[in-house]
Amino acid sequence: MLDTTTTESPEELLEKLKKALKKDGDFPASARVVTELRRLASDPKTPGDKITELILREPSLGTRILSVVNSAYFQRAKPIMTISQAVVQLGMKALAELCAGLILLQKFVPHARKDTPFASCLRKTILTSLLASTITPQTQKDAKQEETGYLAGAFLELGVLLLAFYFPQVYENAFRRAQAKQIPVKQAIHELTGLTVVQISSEVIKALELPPFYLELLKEVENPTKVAPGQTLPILKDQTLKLGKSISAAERVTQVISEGGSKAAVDHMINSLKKELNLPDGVLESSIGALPAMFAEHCSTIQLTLPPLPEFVAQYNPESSNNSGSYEQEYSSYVNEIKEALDAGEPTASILTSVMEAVAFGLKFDRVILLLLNNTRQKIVGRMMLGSEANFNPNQCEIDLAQPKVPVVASALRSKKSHFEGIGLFPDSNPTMAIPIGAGDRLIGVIYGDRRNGSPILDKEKQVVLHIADLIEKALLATSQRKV
Amino acid sequence: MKLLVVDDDPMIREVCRVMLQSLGHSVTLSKNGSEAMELFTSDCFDLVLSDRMMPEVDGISLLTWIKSISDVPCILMTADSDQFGEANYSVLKKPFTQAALKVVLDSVDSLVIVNK
Repeated sequence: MLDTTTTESPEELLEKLKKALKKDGDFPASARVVTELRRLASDPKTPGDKITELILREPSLGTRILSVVNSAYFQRAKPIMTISQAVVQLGMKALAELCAGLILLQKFVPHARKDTPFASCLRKTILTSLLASTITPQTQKDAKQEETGYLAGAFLELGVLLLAFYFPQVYENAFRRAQAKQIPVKQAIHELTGLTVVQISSEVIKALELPPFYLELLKEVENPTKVAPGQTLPILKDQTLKLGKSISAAERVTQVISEGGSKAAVDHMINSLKKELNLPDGVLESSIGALPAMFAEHCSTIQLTLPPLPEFVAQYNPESSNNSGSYEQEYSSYVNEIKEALDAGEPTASILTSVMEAVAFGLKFDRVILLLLNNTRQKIVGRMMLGSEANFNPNQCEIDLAQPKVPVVASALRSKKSHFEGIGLFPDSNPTMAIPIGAGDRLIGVIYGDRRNGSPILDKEKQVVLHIADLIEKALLATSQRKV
Repeated sequence: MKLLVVDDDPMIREVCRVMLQSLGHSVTLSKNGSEAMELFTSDCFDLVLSDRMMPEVDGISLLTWIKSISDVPCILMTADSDQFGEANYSVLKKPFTQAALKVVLDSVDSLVIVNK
């Protein structure tokens, strides 16, 4: 592996990358197999056994092909036993595309075995390829475009992957810069090298003599063709435009997922992409929901262990949302419990416990603490906690309201309204919320909640909190009426 | 009153159902604008509450359509309430408390009585 600083011009860096590719005999050789496979596959006169022969010439490729075509990804009823069968059943073109993807990724596997920025880069490449392979058939309305989508996604990420491979210092600097400035890694690469991701990938495609179609495609990603209303594009141009949009969408979604984005950020991305891609409702969601299983299968095929995807990604899978444990159903069951407790005239303490459970387990807050005003009403003291925090005893938690160090709690008490922002009880509290406990002007305390992971409180969750606050008020009113 | 509530988010639909039923109203839920249009033409409602941001037929299109064929009062539920000062329907800022919901319902309830 080479190393370089980021003091050189963009042209010098690209030149170094091309030299590294030339020097590395293995990679261009594999790329030549890819090009040869694609050339043979695009000629309808090519006999199937010629493709088989070429695949078998590349060490270990045949074994890996059989492993992939028999994986759950292809959902075959009967196993495929030989490469010849694979050629017949998948078609020459599909198989050539599949080989290309495998060969290109196989190269990087040994370098991604540790939890390094390179491993994260390879993970993003795989995710973009997989997502592009599921989105593309939908935008092109052609199920056969799966492999083209896969390869196009891989080629879009190829430049950065090779940059990270040959010049790890440059990539790691960009990675750290992205984390420090909370910007996408691709933006940090641009800031450091003066090159866009597409520019780097385009140079790599040229250097490896890969089909020029992919250069056109990347141009489309960087500068999408503007189509006037009612304008009809030639079929090929229209396909390139749609494919460009699909892989760009796949890259943008995987960037959010790979770089620590929350579910809300992915939701936001889905909403804007739906309009751009003109996709029916649910298509993007189910493609994203299928990612964890596809990713695990893929990693197992290339014998690589990469960090799993964030748990929320699986929630996009329609099958998982039908499970009894879905977020909405879980929330509903907790709120129903509060209502039942209220209707049954249960004691306030029991209702507050149900509320805390709804916030902790239904709304997924990490720490939920019941804080009650003391006799002098100058301090608020902890009584009970759901969730865990090392070395924290809720009964020893005391907040002086004259000098509140926890603004979210003070704001909720002052305004007698639920609050969703402000510094929380712990250094990693983000976001925070506080629900006042009281009826009318009579306040007795607050229920404090926070998350550790920065996952924002969605509008619908705020709506639920306000509903819960209403239920608490009703419970306290009912209690005071019973006392009267 | 017999109310039609339209929101693509099941959690919000559930919250609205519980809040409205506890205020003594009868509630029909719909998950999108197209389904709400079908329900509206096949049943009689005193009032329609709709979310603004929904896929395909959004809340504004739905309420505009309802206003074009009936006098049924409509309430738009939205987080950006400032944009709709001059609209032909009441606006309820999200997230809302049951008290805020009741205030808006009471204001349109008087309209329902006048219309009847």
